Amino acid sequence: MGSQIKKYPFKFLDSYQKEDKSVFFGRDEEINSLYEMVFQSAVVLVYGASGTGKTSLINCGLAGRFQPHDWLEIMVRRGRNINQSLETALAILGGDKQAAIEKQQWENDWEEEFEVGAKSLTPLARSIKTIYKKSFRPIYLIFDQFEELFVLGTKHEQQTFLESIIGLLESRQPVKLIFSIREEYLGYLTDFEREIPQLFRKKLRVEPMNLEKVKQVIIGAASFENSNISIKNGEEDAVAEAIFQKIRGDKKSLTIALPFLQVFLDKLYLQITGDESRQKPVEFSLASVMEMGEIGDVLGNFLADQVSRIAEFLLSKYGTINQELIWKILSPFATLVGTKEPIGKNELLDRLPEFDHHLVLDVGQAFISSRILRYNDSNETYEIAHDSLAKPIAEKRSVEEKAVLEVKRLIKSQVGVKEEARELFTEKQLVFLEPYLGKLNLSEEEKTWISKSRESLKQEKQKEAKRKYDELVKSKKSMFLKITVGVFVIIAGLFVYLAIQAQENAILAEIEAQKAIQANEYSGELLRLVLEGRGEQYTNVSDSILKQILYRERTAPLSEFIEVKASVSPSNASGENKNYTLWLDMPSFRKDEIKEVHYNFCRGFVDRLRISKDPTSSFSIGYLGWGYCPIMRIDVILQSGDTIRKEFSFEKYFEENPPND
Amino acid sequence: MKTIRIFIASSSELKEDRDDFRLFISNQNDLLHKKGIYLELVQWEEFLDSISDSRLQDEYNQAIRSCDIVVCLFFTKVGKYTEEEFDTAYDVFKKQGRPKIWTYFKDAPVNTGALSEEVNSLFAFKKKIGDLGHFYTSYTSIDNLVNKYRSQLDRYFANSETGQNPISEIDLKEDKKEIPNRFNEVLTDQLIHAISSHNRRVKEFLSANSDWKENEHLIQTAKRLIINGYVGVIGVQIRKLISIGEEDFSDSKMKRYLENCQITAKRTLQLICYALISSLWDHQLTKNAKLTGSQNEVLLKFFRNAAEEDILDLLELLKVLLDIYSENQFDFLISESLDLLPKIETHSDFYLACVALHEVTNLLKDSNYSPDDCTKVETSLSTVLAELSFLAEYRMISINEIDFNQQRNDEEGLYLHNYVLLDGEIQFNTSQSKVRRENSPVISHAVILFKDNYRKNINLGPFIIDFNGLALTGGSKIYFYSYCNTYDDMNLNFSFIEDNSKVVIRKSDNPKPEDSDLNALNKWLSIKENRKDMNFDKVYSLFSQAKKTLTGIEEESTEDQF
Repeated sequence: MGSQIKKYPFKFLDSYQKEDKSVFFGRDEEINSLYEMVFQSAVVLVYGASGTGKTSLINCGLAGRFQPHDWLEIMVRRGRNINQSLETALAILGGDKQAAIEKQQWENDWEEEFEVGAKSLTPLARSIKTIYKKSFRPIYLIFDQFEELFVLGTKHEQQTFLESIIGLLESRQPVKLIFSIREEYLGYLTDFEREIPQLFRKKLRVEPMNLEKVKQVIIGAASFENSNISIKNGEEDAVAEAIFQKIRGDKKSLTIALPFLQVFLDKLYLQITGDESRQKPVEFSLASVMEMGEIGDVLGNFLADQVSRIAEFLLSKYGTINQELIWKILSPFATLVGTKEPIGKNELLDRLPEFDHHLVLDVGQAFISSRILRYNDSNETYEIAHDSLAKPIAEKRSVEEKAVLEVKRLIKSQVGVKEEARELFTEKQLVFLEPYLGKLNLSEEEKTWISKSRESLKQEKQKEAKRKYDELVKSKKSMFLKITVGVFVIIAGLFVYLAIQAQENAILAEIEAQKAIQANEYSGELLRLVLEGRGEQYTNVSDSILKQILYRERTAPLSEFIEVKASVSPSNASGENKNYTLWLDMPSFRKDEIKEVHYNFCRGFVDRLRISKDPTSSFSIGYLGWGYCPIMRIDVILQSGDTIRKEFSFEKYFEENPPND
Repeated sequence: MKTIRIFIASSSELKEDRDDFRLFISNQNDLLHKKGIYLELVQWEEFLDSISDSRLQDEYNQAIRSCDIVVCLFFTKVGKYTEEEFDTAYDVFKKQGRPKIWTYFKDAPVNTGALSEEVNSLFAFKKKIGDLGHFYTSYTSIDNLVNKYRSQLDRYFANSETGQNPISEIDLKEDKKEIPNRFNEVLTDQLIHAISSHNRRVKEFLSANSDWKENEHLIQTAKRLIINGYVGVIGVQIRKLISIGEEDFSDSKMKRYLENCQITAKRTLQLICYALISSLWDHQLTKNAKLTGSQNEVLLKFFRNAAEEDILDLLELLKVLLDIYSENQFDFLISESLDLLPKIETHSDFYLACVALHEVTNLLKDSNYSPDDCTKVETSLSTVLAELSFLAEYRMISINEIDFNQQRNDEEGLYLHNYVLLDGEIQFNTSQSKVRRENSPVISHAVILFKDNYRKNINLGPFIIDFNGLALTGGSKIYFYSYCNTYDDMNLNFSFIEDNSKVVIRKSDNPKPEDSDLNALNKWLSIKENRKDMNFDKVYSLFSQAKKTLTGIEEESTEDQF
């Protein structure tokens, strides 16, 4: 292009591309290291904190070191599924599977001699080969934001990807792989490293920008030939330093994040020129930098500014809009951990069922204009321009919003596993999920899996109850009544509990209540079966009395039922010392109301306070010893925070159960 | 003032290109102003096609109807609306013979994660407009687009000025015709035949596919056979040439093509010369033949030259070396090269080809070259490479470490030679270096050249080295000796075959402890950095030794002498 066209050298939140080589400054050292590494290994890993400029370093810095005929990059972002994205990216360059399959018999021969030998090429390797033969340029397959595969992808997706990469590396095609990942996710690569040991061998950490580099960026941007930015003569260093100071604010860190720098420079430009088309030439001076306010967290503030601006802007059209609602609309763009998540238009609308569609789209459009969102129309998704914007969004979420995301992630990760290897949701998980199910748009597969889990849980509980009953029948007849009630309680309890939990959601509560009724009916039937032909003392106890007992156990204060129990038995090792066990006896379905139980021992014991938090053992504790406290104090701490105080007398116990040795 | 209205249709993925294009148009306006022409750009806001439900198709049609030129840019997909815009323009064109529709497909790396199935819409659309008899053009970058656009625009004006009807469909077709790409044609044809007598695979390929030139796919196969068939490092250069040849036409393409033709010739001559010098050094250690004054002078020049020898220097060096071999009846592994002597005489085809390649420097200096120059230079290179086609029988490898493994009760140990095969796609074979089991060791950390017996080889060190092998970093980076800082610090300059960047090898100030002090030596050797220094010091001292043996000159001291 003609040399007289002035170029605006800043990229705001976009990354630098090969064409921007002339305006990319401050990275020479890292570019050199990276350039060396690609000659040392077929796999190179680039990592660093968010906002350190990894993508620009590869796309602009590294790519710029190669002549056009020595570099063919294929950038792959995960999108909705990394394997599909990879396939599509290759198809665009003519490496679609179909084309690759049409091969000449001749070439096969040749392949065997020079390439993988008897082993045939995988589809991926074949696509790469086809692409190579179109341009004879070495291919650099770049996986940008690779952490998305772990944050958003399923196990199955990860495994498929890993397998195709291994196949490609074995194929000896002219291809190099570059993975770029945020450093806090490096740990996720362990499984990959096991299969691809060279993954960590050549790795580059992209350091955040220190003052020296910031100077290079600013001074470089102002001094290249066609820049429309300049710095007042003699103030170059001072301007750069002042900008650095402004951005780090009172944090006094030695480095700043690149997006902050870019946003700041852009703001500075706009403040001076007011030219949104960014064409007017401008001169930065120390004075103009000092006029900028203190910025602190530039991006966070920038985002907050935009939110309030957009709220104001849309107020006339939608009377009820406020900033809180706008933050809510932004919420789906950030993951639970505060990284960005690309999201399709329909998915976005689904995720925000309570909002007017036009409002959501208008807000989206407004954020696109302010360059906070991008619309990628090749796959029709919206995405936040930079990860560093995802964090403030994540932080703005309410507890409930977080919980919904948490639940969503749980379901996704479980159902994401291949069905053969997938596990059912546990009781605990189901209880956690139930209240939120109505707020999620689950796929058929996910729905089916949840009901399958419920069904299986129910059956298991019934089986267990039956088994317990059978066992106990064999032991002591005198305890029949109690046991029967117990069986009933176990079965009914679970579903009553589920139902109570689910009440938070009207629709589901209804369904669950329906199920609870069914379960109750089923249990009632079981109860009658149990009671039939059990001798006269039971025939007198009618269903209704049993139900009364049950009702009381369910509703009366817990303190009425809790009894402290103990057992003492000789130790296996014989001798004087004995096994002492203490536990709570109570309706099992109310165990969850208890947080923990404190057993207070008398003087003479080393640990005078012993705590049990284990509902499955009825909050039991046990010790092996020579003695006991005549009277023990037991504090039952409830989930609600209340404490029920009980006493237990071993003296009384031994009176009633004299030791028989 | 005549106004030409240009409508740009594209999806938002090409926003950048569109913006650059807009800049270009405004730039053009400055120039066209004098001619009384103004280009008016009709550009629709982005995102209109992705967000808004209520599109004003009528307005579009109206806008298109009033335009003279419609430029359609496509990349990974054909947006529904972009296709409609094309259709509208095409309908209008059929009715009123206007606007002209110039269609460009971007052919560039895809910078995206997920692309939807809409890619298929692209393929379908290409077919559709092909069926309409509409020609389209590919572009790789904005510069490339602007170039193509400019030449079309020039023709448009030329036609307008001569009063030709610029709007017939026939004309539209002609406008779109591209100059056929003739790059690599001569090179591929000559080389595939030249190496066929030295490479069984190539021979079979040719006998099975006498019609290979008719089939695009087989042409590409032939090219890859040449890249991998020609000896190691030369294949690297040929790969570059072939890759440049595949590009769309541009100034930069011609420039790089010329540069790389020259470098290819130079590297080839260097390879033979270095192999000859290296073997001569071996011969002279035992035979110590007397060289003539002029022979000595050429060798001296080689060792002392403070700038890289150019093609004609190398040709002279080659001639002298071959003379020495023939006068003294020395044998040489690459025996075919001994027959070269009469072929490289002044005014031979080979000589003239070298001269032509040498003169590329002038073409480049004046930035004065044409596609014809490219063809001529390509033909010269083909002549040189065809003459040296026997090199296709040789292989190059870089030997790294040698491991020894002999365990209890083993009668003899295994020597595991770690090496990297150097071929045209070296860069990509470096990741997994290979292992070869042998019953004896071999010189390690060396780039060697051999025919079929790996034991009978020419060690190319210190003239060709594997930097990464010596630096113990993994992978391979092959450097050719370039020149010596004779009048300065005596450091050696090597040139990386991939990008011709230089590396300086100097004597380290980290001397290896004496062999007598075993403890110190062991301790020193246990540190990788020291072994690395040792390896590079060795390159430096080998060069001095070769120089001394071949020219009789001791290492010159760089220190001031009082």
